[in-house]
Amino acid sequence: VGLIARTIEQAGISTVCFNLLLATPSNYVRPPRTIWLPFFPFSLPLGLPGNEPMQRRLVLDALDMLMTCHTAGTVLRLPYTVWGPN
Amino acid sequence: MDMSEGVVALLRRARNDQDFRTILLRAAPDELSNLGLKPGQQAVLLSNLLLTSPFGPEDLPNWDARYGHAFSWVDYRSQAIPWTPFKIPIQHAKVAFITTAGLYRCEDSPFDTQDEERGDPSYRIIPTETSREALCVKHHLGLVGPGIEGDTNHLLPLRLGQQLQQEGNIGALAAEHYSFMGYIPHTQPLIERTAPGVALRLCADQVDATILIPV
Repeated sequence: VGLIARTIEQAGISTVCFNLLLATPSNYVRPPRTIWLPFFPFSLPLGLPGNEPMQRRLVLDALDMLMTCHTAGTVLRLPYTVWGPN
Repeated sequence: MDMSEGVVALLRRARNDQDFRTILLRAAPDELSNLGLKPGQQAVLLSNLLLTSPFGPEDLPNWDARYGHAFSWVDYRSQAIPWTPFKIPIQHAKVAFITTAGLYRCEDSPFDTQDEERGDPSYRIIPTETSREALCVKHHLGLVGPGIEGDTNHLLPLRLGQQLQQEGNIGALAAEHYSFMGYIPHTQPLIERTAPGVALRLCADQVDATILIPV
């Protein structure tokens, strides 16, 4: 998603990317704003199916990052797990 | 056959067979390679085995050391990072979602999960009002799919976006959202054609912010 985020940001729209498990993609692709979830496996970007509190928490975190991040390339590490408690 | 059917089969067996799960978790990378798993598939398999149930720090490998280069990332380390300051109150902003979960409206064509060399750089438009029954998933990771009763909000949180709009946490949810299939080894068509196409549509919809959800 980092490549897509860079393109959208160049078009004048602010972006926040989630990034699962690995730090390497953000380090190489360098999206404008990233929330890194090091304990989220590939295939479950917003947690287990049906976990609406987790979905809400992550999307609110992304909205908060939009408002508070002022430095291009920022990576915010959030140590959540998909099974909780968080 | 989709590229990850072997991973899905191993995951299913490991979830029903604790001894087999232990064998997989203790296996060295070359032993997993002998099962026909490429490094990227190993990362998918092991992360889903380990991280979907309680774990301790001692259980975790150094994922980046082991799998950081299992995929060919475009290297922008020496280039400037695009930046659009977010200046308006979030309560007034129009927000769109982009997922790479391979979601598509069932009436549209599915993604191509067969082309292992190039992947599929195309995208599908998901209108906000699309019902869960109207959405299908086709991803090269066969384990990506809907939850109970076809729920796909863990892949594209449209219902949550509508709630946030009703609650006033955001100004509006965009009219359209976008879905890619997150396996695109050949990135040039994405960078030159399809990602700019989505950016143009977002501009036309006067979207202020986009949240991108990978798979």
